[in-house]
Amino acid sequence: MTRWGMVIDLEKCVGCDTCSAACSQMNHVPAGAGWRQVIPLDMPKLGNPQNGRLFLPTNCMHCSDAPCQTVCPTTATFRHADGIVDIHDELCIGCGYCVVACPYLARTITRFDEVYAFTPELLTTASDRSGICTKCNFCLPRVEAGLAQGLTPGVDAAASPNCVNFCIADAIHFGDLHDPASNISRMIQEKPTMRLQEELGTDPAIQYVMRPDYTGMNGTAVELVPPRKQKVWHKPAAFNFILGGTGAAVYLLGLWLDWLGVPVTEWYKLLGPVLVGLGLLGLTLEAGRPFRSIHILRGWRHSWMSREAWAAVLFMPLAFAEWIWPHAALALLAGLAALAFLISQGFIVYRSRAVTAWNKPVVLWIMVAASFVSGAGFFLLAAALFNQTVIPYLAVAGLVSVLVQGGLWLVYLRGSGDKAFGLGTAVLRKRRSLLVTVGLGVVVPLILLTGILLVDLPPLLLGVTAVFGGGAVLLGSAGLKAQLILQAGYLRGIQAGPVQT
Amino acid sequence: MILDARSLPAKEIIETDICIVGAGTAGITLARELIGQDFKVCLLESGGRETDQATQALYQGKNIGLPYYELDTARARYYGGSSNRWHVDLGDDRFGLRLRPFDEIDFEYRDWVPHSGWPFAKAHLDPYYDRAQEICQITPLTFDAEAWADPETRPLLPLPQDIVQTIIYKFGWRGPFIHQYTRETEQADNITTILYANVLEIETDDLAQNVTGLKVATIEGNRFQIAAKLYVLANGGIEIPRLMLLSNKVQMVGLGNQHDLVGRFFMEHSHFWSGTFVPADATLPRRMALYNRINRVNKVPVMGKLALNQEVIRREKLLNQNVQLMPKVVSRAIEFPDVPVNGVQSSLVNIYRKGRRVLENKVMVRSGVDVYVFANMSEQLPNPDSRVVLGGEKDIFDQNCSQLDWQVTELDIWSVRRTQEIIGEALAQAGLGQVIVKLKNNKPPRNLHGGYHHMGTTRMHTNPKEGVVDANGRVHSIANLYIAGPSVFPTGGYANPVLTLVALTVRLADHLKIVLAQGVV
Repeated sequence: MTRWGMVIDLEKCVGCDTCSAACSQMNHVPAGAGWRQVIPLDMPKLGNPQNGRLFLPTNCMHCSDAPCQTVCPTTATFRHADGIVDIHDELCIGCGYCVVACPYLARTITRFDEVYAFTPELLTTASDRSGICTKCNFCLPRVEAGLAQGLTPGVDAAASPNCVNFCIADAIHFGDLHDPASNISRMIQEKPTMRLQEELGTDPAIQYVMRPDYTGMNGTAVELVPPRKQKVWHKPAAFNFILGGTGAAVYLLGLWLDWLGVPVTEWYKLLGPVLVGLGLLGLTLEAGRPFRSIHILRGWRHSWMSREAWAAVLFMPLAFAEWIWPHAALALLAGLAALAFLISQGFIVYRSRAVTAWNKPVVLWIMVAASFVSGAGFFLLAAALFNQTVIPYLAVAGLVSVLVQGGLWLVYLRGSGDKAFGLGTAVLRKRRSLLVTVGLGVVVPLILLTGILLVDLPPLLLGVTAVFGGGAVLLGSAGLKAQLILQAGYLRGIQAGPVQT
Repeated sequence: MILDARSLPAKEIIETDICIVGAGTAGITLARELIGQDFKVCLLESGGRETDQATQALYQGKNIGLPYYELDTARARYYGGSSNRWHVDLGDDRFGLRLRPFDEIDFEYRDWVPHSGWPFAKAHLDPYYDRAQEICQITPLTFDAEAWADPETRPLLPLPQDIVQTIIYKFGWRGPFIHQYTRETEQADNITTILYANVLEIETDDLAQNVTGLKVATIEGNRFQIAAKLYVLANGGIEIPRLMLLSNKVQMVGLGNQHDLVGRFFMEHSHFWSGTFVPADATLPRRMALYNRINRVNKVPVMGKLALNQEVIRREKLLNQNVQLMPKVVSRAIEFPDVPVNGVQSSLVNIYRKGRRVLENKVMVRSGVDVYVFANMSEQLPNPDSRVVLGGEKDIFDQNCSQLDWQVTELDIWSVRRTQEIIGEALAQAGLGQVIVKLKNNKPPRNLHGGYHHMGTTRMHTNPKEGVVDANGRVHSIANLYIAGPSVFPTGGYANPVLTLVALTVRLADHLKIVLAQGVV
């Protein structure tokens, strides 16, 4: 079976960027969403003995274990039998999950207002791609048309990708990786080559010719491109994690109180789903094509974002139904959906493989714990105003979740990782950040909530303490999530794998 | 004949009549014009038939002015030069570039443009432009918009001609320069091309009045000399001043730099997207074929753009500009309402507009053309402070690398704004629509970039105090050193430089033939 791939000769590329110009024009790529990059490499580290500079041309690596494909909630990203990773444009909603999952900086969400083009025809293609993810497809239509004419891709120009044809340095080669006699297979056999991010096990289809004698290249991975901050998930994403997480946790805490037999008003049964719904509504602001959001339900087999959506669409009507027709079975189902929602949220962040500060198992549990913290905080605020009898129970829930969250957070911040992890968590380790996540989120509630439990407070003081305690808990955990999403998101640097000679 | 400098006998002195430094667009054009003459020509090229990193690295330098392409990526240093990387998609897997002569006004002295004025008028260059068009294979010759338009399929916009005009760009394919002409020069008996030959220094007599030879080296270490009667530098607008400044054994300030002009007046064409044309009539885009695509007319790819009538430029004291109309999808009604809103209501209205814009962008995604973005391409004021200088870093030959200090003046940007305003008035007057000028001040916009056009660094002027080369392209005060290429342009117009540089090179070829025939040297 064919597997299309490339060999890019770093000894030859002169950084002229003609490949990118050819690619963007001939594939009608919207401005600002180029499929290719030619990245000048940090030379002091990689001294080319000949005083030349090295340039790293990158595009989609068409991985056989593609991180973008497994996270895609809509199944828009798929893999052809010949190995080419492609996008069903009409399914993509532009959620940006693949962008934070791809460790090769290969994907872009096109911004609508950037779409202009040379001609109306190009504009049509470009605007069809507006708001969605776009990336290299190895010029698949060209390759297929060439094959139909009996041509050999990589050998005959008419069947080869545009970047290959227009490379002035003869640095880019295309062919079948699975055919040992193909042009590129022979190159790989004859020349020292390496792949990018080899240690991630994505099995990329692009091999780079690179001499092993560059400083530090002997068998070890070397960073070629430094980390950069992710630019696809903004406030709406953080808003969804905070609001949705709070809503689901409020509902679960309400169920718990009910189960304990504590007289709790039933508003939580509505508030939970409403908060979750608001969070999702906010999230649609992030998607480039929110009105196709229904496609998000298609990718449940592998995408946690899709599972989150399923959990939400099950949870909301179940909780609502249980409010109208109270029944233990319905409550149990709604509770399970809420829990699935919380865990999915944790997994969404954790499975962003390109963002190393998120791609840690502990982050999953931090997200879940933080949701319970904010749920308890929210509940405490409401209880202080409407129903003080539940305050002690919530104080216990708050204390436990705050301690768990705080403990996990400290474990997380003391953890080690790559440069992107360091950059991301450096922000979180700053005093101002710790003041929110630990001070407001742990120390203040620890004092106030313990006070509630140990000291017999008069009703007014109890209410005030609960308000402050609940507020601190809520703000602390919301601040934690917001900082994690908005400030710690550095896309991992691109590493050259060990050179195979 | 074609030789490889790496296999030449060391320390040899190669004698020839004309030595051309650089086998790029200018060098190849010049060599080809000299085919079959009864004198010998030696064409030196730093690179080989293919690119190589070590040679390309000789371009390394630093940008110390406005953000610009990294210097080692802004040119192609191998046989064929930067014509190898002309990259406008002309269809049929052919790449090329925009070609257009400069306008009459570009050659004139304009009292509002210090240092303006070529030593001759456009009419003088016209016959050479004709030959240049044949070389670039874009005949028939006319650039008259009427001739390329078609009332049915690609009509001219009905513009008030006394204000705004349609100008025609032709697109030339890179093939002739990188395949056909290189082959022709290789086959010519009187032309010897030497690859991998890097000129390190221009050597002169004691008074720096005559070039006596070129010091040439290969990266591998082979060294030899070229001794010619005439020398032509055709190695680009950054490398030419660098080589002259490096050749400072006799003239300590750099060869030909007695008036501190070498490397100064670096000009690009300021490219950026700003300004929007909102057609009054939604059907207008259907009549814009001439302007928003590459049309093949008589096998020549052409496109129309807008420029001001030269009288308007004189009256308004502007720099020369043109705009390409780039189709864009955007909601006309939302972003560009007829009535601007000010005061207290504006914030509410803006919130409403923003909301509708988000909604329209995300919901009603459309693919029809709504508006046109202006792709501006503008003349730059000749500015002595925009310049190429030698930096402290050294290349593999221990030669100082270049530093480029690209500057854009306030007049440059103001001219773009004013031009957009006038085009807007004219389009409104013609009932075609309105123009929204988005530039609010005269600072270089963030998306400002160049077009790889390196002009002006060895400018042409009859007065040695105003220019590095004379009207023939000969370096003032040096009897036998000439320069070919856009670095001799005293002003840059708005048109892409290739057609003008080819025309000037053809003219130079004629001149060199006469010089050699007369035996003046």
